[in-house]
Amino acid sequence: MSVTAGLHHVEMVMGTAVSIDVLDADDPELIDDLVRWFHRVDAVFSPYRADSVVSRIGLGDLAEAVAGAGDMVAEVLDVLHACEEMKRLTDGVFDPWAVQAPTGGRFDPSGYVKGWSVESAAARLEARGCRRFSINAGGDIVVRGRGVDDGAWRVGIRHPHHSQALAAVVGLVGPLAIATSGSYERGAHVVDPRDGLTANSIASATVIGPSLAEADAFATTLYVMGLDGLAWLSLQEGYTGCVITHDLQMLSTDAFDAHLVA
Amino acid sequence: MSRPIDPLLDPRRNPRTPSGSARPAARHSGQGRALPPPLPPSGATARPTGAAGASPRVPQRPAGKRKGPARGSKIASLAVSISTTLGLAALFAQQDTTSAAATDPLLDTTATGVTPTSAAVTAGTTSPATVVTLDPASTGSTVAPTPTTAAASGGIVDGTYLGTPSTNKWGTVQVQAVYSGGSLVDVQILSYPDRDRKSVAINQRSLPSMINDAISIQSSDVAHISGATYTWKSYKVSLQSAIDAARSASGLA
Repeated sequence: MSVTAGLHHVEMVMGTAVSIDVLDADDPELIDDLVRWFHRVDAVFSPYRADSVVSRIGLGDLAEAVAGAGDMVAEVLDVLHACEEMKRLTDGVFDPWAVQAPTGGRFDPSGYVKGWSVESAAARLEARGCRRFSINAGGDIVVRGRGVDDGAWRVGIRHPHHSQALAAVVGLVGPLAIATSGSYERGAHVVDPRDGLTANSIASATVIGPSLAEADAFATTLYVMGLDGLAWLSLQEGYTGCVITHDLQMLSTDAFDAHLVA
Repeated sequence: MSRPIDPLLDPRRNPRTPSGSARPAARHSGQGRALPPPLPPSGATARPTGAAGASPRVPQRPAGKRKGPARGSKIASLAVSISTTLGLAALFAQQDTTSAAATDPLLDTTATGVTPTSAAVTAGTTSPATVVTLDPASTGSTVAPTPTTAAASGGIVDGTYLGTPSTNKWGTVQVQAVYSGGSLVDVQILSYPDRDRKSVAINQRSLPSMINDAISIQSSDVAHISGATYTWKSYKVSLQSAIDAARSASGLA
């Protein structure tokens, strides 16, 4: 066993890289448990797999799909319920049922599931006594406790024009989550369900808040709403955010600025 | 859908110290702060002194961290006090990013905006007029300060411009816009439907457009990058990958 406590692992799953840092534990089984969790989520919720529960739900096979979810039935029901709640909270801007899924169905909850699965993974670590860790799933991140050297976790926000540079740096002390939705993302043709048009009024939207499941969905919503979304976001208890325009103006709420360290 | 509203004249209009005279301090959240008012567009000669000093808010951004392009110094501060429900959404019109003359990217630059009461045009000012729009989709009306000939020729006379109260399904909305140096420096929501009243301050700053001026990932010592979405393939060559490798190699320290 290494003298240095801590676990670090990067897993390719859910179509992206999931990076796990645990500062206050060194039992590899913790990582194994999370890896199994993420692959299970991928199998059940992937919109890219025709045989996934989500794909079958999208094809109108709700009852049978849920029944076939096996040990993930509770999770499937949780996600379905949460997606309905997100649709309500966002005035229909976040609507997994308005998305054309890759396999042809009409249900793609990916915008919620990634954050939710990371949040669930964090709960698994906490249940095993971990208090200081971070999980980064393709740029959507949860942090718990403090980072290295007992400081805040320093998280950069990608510069919308330069993939190798940052627009800002925030310092986060857990429990917090941060998610960014940007026009530079792959498959960034985010459609506003309200009018069917592609949202493109801003370059990126970042949301910080207590839950990555919601922060992820809210970042997508803020991206669709554009500048107007900041006022909407301010109504969501505990959540703050910023938007970056195409001509590089960064607009943010005061509460968001409290996190800025650079 | 959106109907133009009559122009309003604000009795409090004060061309000399626009941002100080009309700000209803009580409407701002206590922590309301923002960056200095924008500088006038290049070539402008009529920037009123005291506009910055009149602001009760103090810039707190670390100076030098965010050197923007020349235009970047024209940071508008928009402290917006609102009380609202979900319909509020639209404090700002979508910006016209294609307009080279847009000094207030926050706001639409079409010329149907605030009308000065006089025909005078601030010397050298090239700033376009500004529209403060309440999203027609959600409010059913538009707060439309009046069209102006000054706007057509590219100038807004300094001062505070009061928008006509506009009624939507939640109640009445009224805003006012403050211009200084030909640029919009403040938009204030004077009234909003009295439901879930709360204040929101929205700050604005310019990001560096050149990569050399942007924050370096290497020097900023970040553990993660939000918004850096990686596919399996791209992760192999990504900076997050390098960060992860470095953290792993150093035992996370």
